[in-house]
Amino acid sequence: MTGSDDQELIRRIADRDQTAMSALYARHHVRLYRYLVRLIRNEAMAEELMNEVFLETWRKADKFEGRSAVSTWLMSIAHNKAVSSMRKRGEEPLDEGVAAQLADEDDTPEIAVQKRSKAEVMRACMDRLSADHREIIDLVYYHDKSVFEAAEILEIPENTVKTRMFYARKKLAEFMREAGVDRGWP
Amino acid sequence: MIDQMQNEREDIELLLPWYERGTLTPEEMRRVETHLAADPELRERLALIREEASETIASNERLGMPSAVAGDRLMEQIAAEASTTPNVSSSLRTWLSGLIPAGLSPGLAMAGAAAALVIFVQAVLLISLLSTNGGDRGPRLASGQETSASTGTFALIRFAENAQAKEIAGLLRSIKGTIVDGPKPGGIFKIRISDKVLPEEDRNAILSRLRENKAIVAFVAASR
Repeated sequence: MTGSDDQELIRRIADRDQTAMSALYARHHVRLYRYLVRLIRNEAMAEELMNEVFLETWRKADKFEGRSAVSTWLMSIAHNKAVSSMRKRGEEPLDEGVAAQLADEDDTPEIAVQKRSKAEVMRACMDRLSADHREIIDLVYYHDKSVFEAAEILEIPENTVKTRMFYARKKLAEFMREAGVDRGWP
Repeated sequence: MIDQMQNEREDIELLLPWYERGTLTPEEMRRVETHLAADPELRERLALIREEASETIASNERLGMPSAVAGDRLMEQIAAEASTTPNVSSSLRTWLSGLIPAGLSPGLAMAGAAAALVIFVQAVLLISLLSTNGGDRGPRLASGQETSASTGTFALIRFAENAQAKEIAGLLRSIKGTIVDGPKPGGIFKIRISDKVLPEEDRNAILSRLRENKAIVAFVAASR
């Protein structure tokens, strides 16, 4: 299915076609759910927000302007709902990550690295990133969003998208160095 | 000059993640490729980015899926909303589909539906316009109270796609015409051009006047 198929689904949804809604859900729900889980770190809440995103799509399909891909529109709605939810829960969405520490306190970084593969260390370090940094990394690497699309979803200028990605990667490298993996950059 | 080169290199480095995912414009892709070919350090950075992308994808894939119950709950909610919201669009679609002969190819059916929609909009505009024209100032839609649809001289007419309701009303007014039926399939309206049965010559003169207005009238022919 292509982007134009998605647009056709949205057109049918604007016509109150429930079959089209099911098709749109089938096509996008997994990625949308994963995007939300990574952002708010709560599976039940991610599921609830995901449904809210689709419900809003159902209600506002006739407002879709087609300026960007349907998946970008869905993620833009999801982003706003996630940020709003985190604020309601008293979480600071732009704060540094609070994930569990990588290594046991008794371990030296070298021992910690021996315990884990480099890939595991990287994944754990990604969890330590702030919500902003995790989000931009996911949008670019997993959701394959262009600079323009990421800017649409996050409602920030394209240059900010580029620099945010750069600093997210830099922070990831710093965390990895702290965990004993020096990637030679920055 | 050195500053300019440094800035260009920094710009390219910022674009590397998108280059790796193939989400740059073709022009940007070429620009990055040119730099990569000449800069081993940039190629090393790209290798780091490939590792990051690979682990990001792996982390996301491990998250699994939402429960099936979530989807059921959503569709139930949507069905409940749908049942309480009048579906104007569906009614329109049903109405439009009634105008399209069965067995048409999807393309023709779509074209027919589009044409029918234009006609429908014209009809709605006409009805709204004509129904607000009180007294004897202009043409009206025929009704049992005002005129009899069975006497007089008639014509079949199809209005041009871009004709405005106001223009149509003006044209009908100029010939003292009245819409008595329509729109029929194909967007045809039946109009009365005189309360009396006109001689053929007079009737043809009125039809000619209508035909001359090509911006408003796409087709017109005599009718019983």
